[in-house]
Amino acid sequence: MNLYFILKGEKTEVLLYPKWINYIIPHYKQVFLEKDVIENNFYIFSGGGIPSIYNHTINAIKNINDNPVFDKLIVCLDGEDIGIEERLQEIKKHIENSKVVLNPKCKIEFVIQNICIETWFLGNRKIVKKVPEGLMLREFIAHYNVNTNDPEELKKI
Amino acid sequence: MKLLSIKFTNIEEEWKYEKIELFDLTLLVGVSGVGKTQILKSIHTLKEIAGGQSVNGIKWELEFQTLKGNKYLWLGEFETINSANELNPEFFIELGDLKEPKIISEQIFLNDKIIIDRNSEKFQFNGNEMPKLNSTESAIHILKEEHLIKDIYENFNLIILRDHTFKIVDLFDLNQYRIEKLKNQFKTFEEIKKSDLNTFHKLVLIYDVSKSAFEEIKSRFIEVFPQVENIRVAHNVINEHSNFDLETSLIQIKEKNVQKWIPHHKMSSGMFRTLLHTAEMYLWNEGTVILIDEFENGLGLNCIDVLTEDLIYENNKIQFIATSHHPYIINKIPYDYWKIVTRKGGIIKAFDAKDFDLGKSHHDRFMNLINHPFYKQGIS
Repeated sequence: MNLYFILKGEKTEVLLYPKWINYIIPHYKQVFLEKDVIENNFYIFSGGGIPSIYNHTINAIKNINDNPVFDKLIVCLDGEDIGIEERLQEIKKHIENSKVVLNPKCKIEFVIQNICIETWFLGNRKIVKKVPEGLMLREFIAHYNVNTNDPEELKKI
Repeated sequence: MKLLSIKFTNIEEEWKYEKIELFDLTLLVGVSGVGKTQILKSIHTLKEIAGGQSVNGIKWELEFQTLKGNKYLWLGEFETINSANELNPEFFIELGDLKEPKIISEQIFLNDKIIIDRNSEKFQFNGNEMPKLNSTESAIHILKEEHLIKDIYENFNLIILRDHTFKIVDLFDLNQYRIEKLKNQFKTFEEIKKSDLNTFHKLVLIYDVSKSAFEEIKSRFIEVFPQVENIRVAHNVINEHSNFDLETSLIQIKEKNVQKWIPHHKMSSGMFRTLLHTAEMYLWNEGTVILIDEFENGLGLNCIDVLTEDLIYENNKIQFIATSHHPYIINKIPYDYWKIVTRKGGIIKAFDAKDFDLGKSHHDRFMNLINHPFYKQGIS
């Protein structure tokens, strides 16, 4: 099985996903060009943010159709302020409008982060200091304390 | 001239790059800090050395071809004078203490035949021993009047490092650029083109000297900015505040539905740059080598499109070496012209993107590239 990842972010996600995949399926090896995929490989394409990542997703579908060695296309996006459901509908609609259809051998999966990928990290109590030194962080904690509240419930300032 | 390849070491600053072969259009791409600008600056440094400057602690190998079709290889090295205190900026050193670095070795080959062979002991020119000559100046500068060297010296003047940061104010003419004086000096389009005036002055002059060339530049500019309906040059003499006549030349544009003409110093910087770029395409000498750092600076997408096209198609007699971070520009320029720059410590390397098989992909080539660790970890 081979996996094709589309990640919205260029910084956090590209560090996180390879480690995470390695933890869950250690026998999978990352390749850095689509053409190098053989078996039990994963390829990660990232960058551009929303909405350009939508077009990158269409290009990824075209790539998979041209070279049908991939079994799963996993598209990872941020819900941001419009939320999970709306983001999901937005990307699905974009794919539908493009009239590019993924070959049935490959399955598409969507991972929509509630707000953003960094929100997940805020749930890690080891990362977030109770009394941070930075003034800005103190202000943030005063606005919404992620130590005591669910980071995914965080609201805009 | 055409630069064919360059290898450069800065011993004093402890960095170097391996031999880089240059194309008619070379686009240097790579993450910030890999040394793209250093490559451009080092080429410009060689122009300064050919012009007689002494530069501390550098070593180079440059292959180039002049307009006459002669191929040269120029190798050289300056001694390294270590600063007594490296924290002292150079301008603190009193003039009396300033020691100009000497040339340790210099060689020039013309079509594989050695014409200059020089070190701290000897100086041979075309097989003849020369008397003791200025050891801090390049042979190109010392012998610039010699038939064999003149061609090289003149060709180095064709290298231009384009600086976007120049102030528009600098373009106001002082007396030395009085338009009548210039018109007497340069009477035809060809003379203006061949002159070493900057593009602004060339453009001001051709308004009077060659209407047809000005019209061509104008219509090309209006293609990019359709809101512009006319361009003109106006001269103005100011003598209110001083005893001197200060003559200024203004390039003005007239926009549709705007009553007043807009002078160049009040235009948007992108518009003004596009105007100069467009003019350059017509007014530059054959054989000009243009070094452009961050091509995209100050340009909106509407300008980038046209100016990038010009880079690729309009100028087979002009060589461009440019850097860019802008995916839109990079993707517009064919992959064959890209050089991917990476750096390990003080060693800079530039790889041909075409040797790097990305395979077929529907993603933009540049996006494919920036997803590759080779690009991402440009510095290690």
